[in-house]
Amino acid sequence: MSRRLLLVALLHSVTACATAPINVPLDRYDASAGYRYQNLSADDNSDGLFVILSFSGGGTRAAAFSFGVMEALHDVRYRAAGGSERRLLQDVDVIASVSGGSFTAAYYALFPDTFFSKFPEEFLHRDIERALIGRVLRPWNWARLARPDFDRIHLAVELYDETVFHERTFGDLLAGRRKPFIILNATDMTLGRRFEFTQEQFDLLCSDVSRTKVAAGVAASSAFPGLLSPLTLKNFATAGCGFTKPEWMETGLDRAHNPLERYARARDLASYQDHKEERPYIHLLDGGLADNIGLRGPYVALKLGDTEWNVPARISAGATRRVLVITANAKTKPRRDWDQRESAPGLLDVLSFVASGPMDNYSFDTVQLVRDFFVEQRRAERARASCEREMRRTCPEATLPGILPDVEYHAVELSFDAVPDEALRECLENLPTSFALQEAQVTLLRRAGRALVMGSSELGEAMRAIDPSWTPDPVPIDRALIEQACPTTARQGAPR
Amino acid sequence: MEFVIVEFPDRREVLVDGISYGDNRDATDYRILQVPEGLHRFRLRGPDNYLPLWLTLDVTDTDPVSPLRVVFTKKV
Repeated sequence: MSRRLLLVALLHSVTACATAPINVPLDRYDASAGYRYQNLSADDNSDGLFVILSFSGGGTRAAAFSFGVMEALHDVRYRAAGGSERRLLQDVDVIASVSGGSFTAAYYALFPDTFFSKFPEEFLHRDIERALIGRVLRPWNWARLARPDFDRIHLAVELYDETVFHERTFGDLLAGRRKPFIILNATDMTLGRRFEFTQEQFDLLCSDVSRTKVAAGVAASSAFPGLLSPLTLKNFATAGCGFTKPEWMETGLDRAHNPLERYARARDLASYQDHKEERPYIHLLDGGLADNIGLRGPYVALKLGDTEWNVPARISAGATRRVLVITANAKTKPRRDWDQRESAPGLLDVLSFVASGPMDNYSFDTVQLVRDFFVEQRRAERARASCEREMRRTCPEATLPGILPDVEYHAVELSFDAVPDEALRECLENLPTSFALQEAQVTLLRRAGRALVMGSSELGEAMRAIDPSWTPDPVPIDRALIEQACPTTARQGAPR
Repeated sequence: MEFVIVEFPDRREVLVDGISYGDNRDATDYRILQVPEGLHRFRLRGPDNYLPLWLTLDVTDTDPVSPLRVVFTKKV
């Protein structure tokens, strides 16, 4: 290395010593302050309808697909009860996201007014991988990378912060006071559990999420093992901040009187504050390792209620009469040819399967858990209604105790395997997981997201329950676009 | 999901584990609250003119036809 280059590197490493920490201590715990669901305004958001979106991982493929879903939701217009026209996107209360989907969720929450015009150029059509490699190759970053407290993930945070999220923090999200509430999910490597970039989670670390860059949350959420290093947060719980356990955690920690899933969650979350556990640092990896469709958080809010955006509480209070959960799942199903050969699949094939196979099954189960929960809820309402009818017939003077709120539940999963066109489905299911896709591939993913929203029978059912006159817009997809995005699969899968 | 009625002569806001579940009743009848299975602490928001001041109960095996009754009485 030339002397000049060395000097530049040294100079930058000294500057880098002043690099802002990822997270800072919380001055004083306040359960009513910070980036929390209840601190965002309900203005311009239909309160009776509670809409949750979850965006899966899958690099730019997931980001473009979820963007297409958002474009479609913006165009889903309906007549509300008062006669005013609304867009379904206005009604979204929460977006829970993972990895690639976190870019879309975070950008929308930060820049709702320019989201549709700027996000494609600022992220979807950019070669993020090349930009990251470029930063790694800059000589002045070598000295920084040699430091124990600086790694590739910090370069990713800087890149996303400078070029996509424009130095915004979670404090900026709070200052906007607008729903949706976004939950960027990473994975706590020690617990193997979801870690949310929300004040509710940061309270456990006695840390202030408002002073954390949104780019850090997105980078942690998409820190794919091996490609990026884990993101490390400091846990300030030992220093203290006056934190007191929320009551649900106190009651949830009674192992004998709770379902195991409730107890285990309370126990794991309490561990951040447990001084005996000695966890001064928390290492985070890609959220897809704990939940690759971002639906576990919503499931907790729906079924266990042990979070600040407790859905059963909203239903009981009469604030929510319809629950709509829409999952944008950009999972793929790459063609495998190993069953055509006697020889066993090689190491790369095995690793690829190990990385995605179990998680795909887990994602399938999570979607099913939400569906099963909704079926259980509908069944309970039906049982009560049947009983009331029978009593009116046989014993008209008797009444059942109390009034049960009438709630509708709708679960919508949008995934490539629901695409009816074989060539298009083949194309989408074989797109790579990367942060650099061709322009035609991004365009196709956006169209596919839109087409799946408009073609979803589940969404159609939900929309017609809200507005019986609602009809979806047709979304034709140009075959030339499919051939441009996937020249090989389009030819193989084209109907003869 | 479990089903709970909170009995108290007046209309009062119910807190379950510190989170508002809305009022215990409307003008005509008690409202059935939907509470996740497990151990929960029930309280009423507002003046502490009731007993007991909180109840910690294992909420399980209820159904919408026979909800769990959580009973608070007025202090005399």
